[in-house]
Amino acid sequence: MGTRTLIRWEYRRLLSYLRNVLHRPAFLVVQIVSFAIVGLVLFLLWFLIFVFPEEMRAPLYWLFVDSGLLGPNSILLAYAIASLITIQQIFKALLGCPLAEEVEAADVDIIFTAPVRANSIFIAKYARSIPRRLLFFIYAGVAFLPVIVFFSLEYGASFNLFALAIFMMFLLGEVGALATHSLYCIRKSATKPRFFSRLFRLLFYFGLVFGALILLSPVVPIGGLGLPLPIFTLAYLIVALCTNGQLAPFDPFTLNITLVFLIILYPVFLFLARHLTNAVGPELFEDLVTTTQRKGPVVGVLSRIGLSFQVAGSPFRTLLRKDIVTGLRKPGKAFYWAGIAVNYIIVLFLILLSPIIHLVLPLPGDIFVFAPTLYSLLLILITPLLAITAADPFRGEYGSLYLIRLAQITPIKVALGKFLMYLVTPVLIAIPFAFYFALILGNLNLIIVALAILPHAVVLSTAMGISMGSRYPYATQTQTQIPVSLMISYPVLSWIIIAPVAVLLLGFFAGGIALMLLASLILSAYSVGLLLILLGLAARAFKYIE
Amino acid sequence: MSSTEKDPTEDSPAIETFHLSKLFPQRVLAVNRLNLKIGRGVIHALVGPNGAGKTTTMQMLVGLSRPTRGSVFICGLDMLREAWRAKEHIGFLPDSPSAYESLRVDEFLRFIASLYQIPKDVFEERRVRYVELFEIGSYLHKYMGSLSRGMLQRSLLCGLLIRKPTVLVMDEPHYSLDPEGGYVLKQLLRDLAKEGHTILLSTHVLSIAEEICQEFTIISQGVKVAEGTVKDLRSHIEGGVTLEEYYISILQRSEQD
Repeated sequence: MGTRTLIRWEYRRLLSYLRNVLHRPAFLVVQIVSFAIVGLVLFLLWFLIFVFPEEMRAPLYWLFVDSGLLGPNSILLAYAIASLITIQQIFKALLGCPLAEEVEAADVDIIFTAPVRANSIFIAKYARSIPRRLLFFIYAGVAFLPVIVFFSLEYGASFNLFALAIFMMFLLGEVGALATHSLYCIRKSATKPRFFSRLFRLLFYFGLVFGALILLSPVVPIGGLGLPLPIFTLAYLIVALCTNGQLAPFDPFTLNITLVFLIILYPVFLFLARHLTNAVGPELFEDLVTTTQRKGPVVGVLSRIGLSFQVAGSPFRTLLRKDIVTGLRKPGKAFYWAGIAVNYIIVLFLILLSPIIHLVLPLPGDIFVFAPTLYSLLLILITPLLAITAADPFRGEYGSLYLIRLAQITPIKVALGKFLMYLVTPVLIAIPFAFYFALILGNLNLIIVALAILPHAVVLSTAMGISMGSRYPYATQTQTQIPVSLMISYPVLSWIIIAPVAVLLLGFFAGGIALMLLASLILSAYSVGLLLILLGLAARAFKYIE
Repeated sequence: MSSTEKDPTEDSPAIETFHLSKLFPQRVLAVNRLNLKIGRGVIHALVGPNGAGKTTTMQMLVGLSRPTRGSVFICGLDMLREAWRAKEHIGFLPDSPSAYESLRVDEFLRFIASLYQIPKDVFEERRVRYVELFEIGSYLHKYMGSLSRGMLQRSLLCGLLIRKPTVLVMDEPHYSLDPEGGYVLKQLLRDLAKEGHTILLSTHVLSIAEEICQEFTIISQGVKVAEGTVKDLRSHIEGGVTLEEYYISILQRSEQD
């Protein structure tokens, strides 16, 4: 079978899937609710900007500021968090093997056993992954649009330049994905000891990430030095906003040079990936079969710590204990806890280090921008990996529901238990982040604000992660229905975060703060609603199985 | 290929393995030096307890798993070196089959026809025949994801038979079928074998193996413990010994060895 026929069928199946999803009531309900929310936000914007009396705006704003809980910094911090979360997801979308992401369980039985060459399968799956990635970048662009409009007005960064940067990020993602796949093939074809193989992979990822940073390189003046690092630029920009610092202009020349470079690199990597895929066909099939059918050890390193399930007094506590024990035994959890621990250690280190550097070295004041920037970069890199594990309580729901249906526990308690477990990761990620930025900005009240907002941002991040469908694409019906709904409702949610900031930046402080509070409430409702929808769909799927 | 050259696929055994072994990364030896030789037009049963290595063996036969050692030949073609050609001759039905949930049954059958490049007229003729045989006519416009397990099994069997591969490898094919579906399948397998197709099926149900298979291989802990024709098997179970008792005695003997 030719590659073209396979691509045609991949797209036909994709359209068939969308057609199928569009007929589902749950999907339509999510969309209607999303549009109702955006309508409400637009109405409030209109009201606050055009109707709300100007003489009442300032007193209301000062009322909030005087209460000591909220101020411009806290609003900007919320925006910083939202931006970081969005960038994390872009990073996540950049790296990954399109073949591994797109393979479904049915492919194993039907396509892998057919006389189709491995490179044909790779190209077909890769072609199918492109619209998904492109869609994501368009969403990200829409989400950032109001901010860009604001910066265009203030600092002269044009919309065209922004569109070009988004396209380049997309291209970079494609090159990154193809390079990752090529690396996999190289690793498979070389019979290396496992340690060297892992080391090799790790080095490659480092190279790829830093290559990506250098490729997109508008120059940023920090502390008198010209640092050609774009993600630093963005993080610096956020920090500069928080500290009322000066912003660096974008550099159109560097962007254009990078674009040409990427356009040359893309076909080279495509050819390389295609060629190498055929060389490792049998190994590739076996790996994908193993991944798809989830064979291999199902218990992780943490199972050795001796934690065991104990009988609890009530069915609710039993459910929580079960989630904790099984959660800790899952493979990859050791990495997750290590990541959380590193997050805390780094914050502690940064908090202690900043004053010491200041005492020992006579550096200019704005060098301290560098430390939060580094920390932001670290969060960008590690949080997606941590946040995605927050979805754990949602997976394996069939097992829980089967037991729960037979046990004396109400659905509300099940939902509550799952929600509590779901919040563990976001809160753990939020704590050091909140402390550090509150100290940097010199306002300890920000700890409360950040702790209130950030977990929701992480929930959103996870939802987006799932919506990208890149980690668990070949799962149950429940897990494949929700992503499309989330993918489409994501821009709406982004607007919920961004609209208050935009209002605030336009000078309507009271309106901005009021919207921020409203956004927080909506996000909380969305998190709980998401959970209930997932549980509801899982229950429905379970009924079908019966 | 010129007319003087002989096609290796014509008179080679349908399935042949040499010292086939599979060692999983957790140091589990799932299959150990398994030699199989299955001729054309035969229904061969692969029998063994849970965890014996039946599914792993079948996955290696169809090219889904790479043997740690040994080799697999399908109609004389090496599955490792000539997978492209070997796969043209083989069809696989897994024990827990999955389907493209968002494809309708009819679309799925057309997908299979397209995947294996079956001529349109041949496809239409077979489609009518097997859709009628498995009684899935009223399900053709339903999504695969909405089918019951039994109907899904029927649809997948239909897709498999539309191809008419020389060798059919089936992992527990009767598992989800109702008695009527099971009966149809048995009749069909017999007819296919008469037409020269080779069928390798794994089963836990010994009566099915005895009823429709001509040959059998019993494996336990990845090792072949008995093989022969069903006639041989029957000769051992005279004198009041049932098939189950004979099978269990073989397994116990192998464990003692």
